[in-house]
Amino acid sequence: MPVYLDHNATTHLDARVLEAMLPYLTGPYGNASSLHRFGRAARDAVERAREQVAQLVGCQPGEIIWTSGGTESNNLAIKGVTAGMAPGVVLYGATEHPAVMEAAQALKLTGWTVEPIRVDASGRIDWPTFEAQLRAHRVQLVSLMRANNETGVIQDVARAAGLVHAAGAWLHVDAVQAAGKIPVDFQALGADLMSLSAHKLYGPKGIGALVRKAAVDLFPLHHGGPQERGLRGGTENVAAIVGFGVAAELARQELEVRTRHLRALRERLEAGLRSLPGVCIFGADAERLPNTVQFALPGYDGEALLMQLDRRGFGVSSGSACASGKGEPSHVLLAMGVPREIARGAIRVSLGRENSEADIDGFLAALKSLAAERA
Amino acid sequence: MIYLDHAATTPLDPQVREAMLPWLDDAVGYGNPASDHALGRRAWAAVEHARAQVAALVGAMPAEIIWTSGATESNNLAIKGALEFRGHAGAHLVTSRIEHKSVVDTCRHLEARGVRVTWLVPEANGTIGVEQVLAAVRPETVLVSLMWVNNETGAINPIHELAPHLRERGVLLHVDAVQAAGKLPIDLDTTPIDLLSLSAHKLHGPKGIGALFVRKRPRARLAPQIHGGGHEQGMRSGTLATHQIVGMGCACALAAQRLATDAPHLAALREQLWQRLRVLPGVYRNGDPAHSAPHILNLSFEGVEGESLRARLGDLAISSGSACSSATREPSYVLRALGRDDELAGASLRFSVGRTTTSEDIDRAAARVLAEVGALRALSPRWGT
Amino acid sequence: MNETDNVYAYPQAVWMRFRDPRHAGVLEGHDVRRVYARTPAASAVIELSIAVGPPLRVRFRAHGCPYTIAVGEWLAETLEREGLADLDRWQAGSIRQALEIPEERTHCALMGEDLIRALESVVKSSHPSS
Ligand SMILES: Cc1ncc(COP(=O)(O)O)c(C=O)c1O
Ligand SMILES: Cc1ncc(COP(=O)(O)O)c(C=O)c1O
Repeated sequence: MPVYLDHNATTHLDARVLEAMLPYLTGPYGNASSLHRFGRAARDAVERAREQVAQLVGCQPGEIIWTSGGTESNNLAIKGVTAGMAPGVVLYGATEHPAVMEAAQALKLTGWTVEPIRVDASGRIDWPTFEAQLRAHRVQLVSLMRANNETGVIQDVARAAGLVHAAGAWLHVDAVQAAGKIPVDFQALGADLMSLSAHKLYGPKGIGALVRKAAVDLFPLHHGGPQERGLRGGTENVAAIVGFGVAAELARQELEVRTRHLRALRERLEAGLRSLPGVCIFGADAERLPNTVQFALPGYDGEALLMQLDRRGFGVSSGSACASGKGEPSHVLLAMGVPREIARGAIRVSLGRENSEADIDGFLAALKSLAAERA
Repeated sequence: MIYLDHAATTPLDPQVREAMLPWLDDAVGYGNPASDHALGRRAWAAVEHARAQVAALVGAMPAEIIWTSGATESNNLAIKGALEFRGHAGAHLVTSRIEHKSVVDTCRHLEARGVRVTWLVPEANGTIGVEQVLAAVRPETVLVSLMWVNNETGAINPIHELAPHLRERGVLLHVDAVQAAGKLPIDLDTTPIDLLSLSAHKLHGPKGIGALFVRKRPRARLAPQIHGGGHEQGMRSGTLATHQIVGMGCACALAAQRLATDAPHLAALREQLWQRLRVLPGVYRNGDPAHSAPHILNLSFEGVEGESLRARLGDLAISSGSACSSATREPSYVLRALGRDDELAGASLRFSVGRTTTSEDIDRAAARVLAEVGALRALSPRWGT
Repeated sequence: MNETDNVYAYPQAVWMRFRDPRHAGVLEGHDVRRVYARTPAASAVIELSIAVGPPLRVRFRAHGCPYTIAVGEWLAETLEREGLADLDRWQAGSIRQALEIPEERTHCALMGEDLIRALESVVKSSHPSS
């Protein structure tokens, strides 16, 4: 069995989540929008899940819109809010997920001005620049992630919310990596929109949510059909929605235990990494997710290390699990001012519930022997 | 409960479920298909196998299949993507009044943004004619979007005859084939359709997964609607849901295998139901059986009110045209176009049979309909006086 | 048919009367009065036939949604039980309340009120003493 250390790319499905989903994979459970009995049972299940997800992230059930995942949620937030406005200015953090950056960039076609917000060497917002940007433009929307998928760096979103609202703009928060790993409270963060994805918290792939305050006017991305109050057409993926609900419920109940476990493992891992000469851990000075370490061993061929680790049964990644840009150094690290050659060799370890101390020790041993071979 | 609503959704086939389960498994079924390590590559291989299965059902090449979250998204991507790629200014689009809401609302949205839209109205048999479409095409027409099979009446549009004419004129053709796939043979190798939408849950596959066929030669070009990450050749980003995709692949493979037996079986059940119900006075068949997909029978009942009929048939899972019955429907444009007045359009029932429907189901359902239509007519001061 | 077939969740008072009307039918005879009510487009109709008796007997026929049919049944049953005195206390509001008719179906209760008003004038004209 390979040791899976890539939980920020995706997690396995919790067996309890699968169990909850199974009845909805055995038909005929109907189309949640149909009025007959099968349809009603499906609809009740969908509404229960809405409550479960709402509880995890501190919002109202009615604020949740189901989507096909975090990517769609980010697109819906950015395009859906701006669609009803006269073109203005959108700002996003320089280390955002491509779904945010590219959705924002696409607005340029319709006359919007789109600017990244600089980050410091630890990956945190560069506050003076951000404040200057808010003063210089009439900003309508700001998109910031709660936690970064590569470095795990946590942004002070609540602080940003105060500034964003004072400037008269809406704040969208990509909480895809944060939910289930650290407490997430839509209200307390001061977010107006927030993206979530189930497969990052032991739920199924292909289901996500956008949380939206009622005051925010939103235009649909998928037209057609009454689902999600007209904001997101398409027959509901009932089994996946139910799975998301249960995964959220479990994440809420087990958050403390999970966090303690992950933090202990990560400390063990970082202690081991620090014994390697020249190792550099990205965002080490910032508050980070308890499960994530991104590092590089300058002087070693990072890509070769990744391939060798894979052959030895350790599933890690260089950064984000994207379909494109393979071979391009991480935009996250570049934004933090990491030199290209170091960024190119970055390795991200993202831990999960089932990882053990033995996994960490095995990984460190493999890394050390590979580093020694290559030196 | 007798389930006769297969045009709304179908039960998951047990074989499809079996194929999906390993990809939901706690131990081995994870890995992001976009991750470059052993587990990721395993998931990627499963996704590509499924792509080939979907392509085979419709005679396409695997690289022409783009995964989406369902046909609603496929229809949105096809229509908005094609128009956005071309530029909205001065563009013209042809579609019909009987399309699924996901096409109608998308075209309305574009209309509000300045795209000219021609809305075709069905002929007396419920279909859109080739001549009608060609007469609507202008030099600035970018796209014709037409469904293959209508989801309310089962009416089949003459896509085979239409497609070559549009290719000749250099107009893109998008076909919503959600109700056609697995019911009629589709061969994109010989039929010059440029874009074609599919949904798994109408074919005994899972809900929340669909596909858009995007022709490579000549290449149909689309502007992506969901950005970020560059999945699916940049046309549709987002982490791929391996289990869903595997389920759709398996469902399409089964549909391809079973097409030759499923279609006549469904048509026989549908005719059995019609024979049982036509003994009633004042029952009308909506649509022309000569141009109809095998799984749908749509009937209007004179002398009863639609909502009451549906309410008394709570033990049948069927769809009804009654206006107040369903928050999701406007009084049926399709049925009114077939010459039914509002009252008959409202007092309509759509029965749609599936692979697991039995002849006994049909007899029981027919008996229930006969009984309840009779009861409501007996109660009505307007019937028979 | 049983309770669980109320899959569209009509109020219980409506469902029972719609599902199993006890007073459906038409009465004939010299002491029978008939009154009708309909919606403006005549898409829904309720007819009451009343045999003044004694004993007082009331039957209804209706074409329309489940609320319409339930209003017919409820009127027939309540008139039979309570008689034709004090008809003026019957209002759409009380019918809506008795059957838990939702706001958007108020027109069904209004048809009920129209029937009572029609009945009042019929009763008055045929029983000048009462
Ligand atoms: C921060 C962040 N946002 C958004 C996404 C996209 O989510 P999904 O994979 O559900 O499309 C991801 C994961 O890839 C992510 O890490
Ligand atoms: C003709 C037609 N097109 C599109 C759709 C939408 O498909 P999906 O439910 O996968 O979004 C449906 C089904 O609802 C349909 O019948």
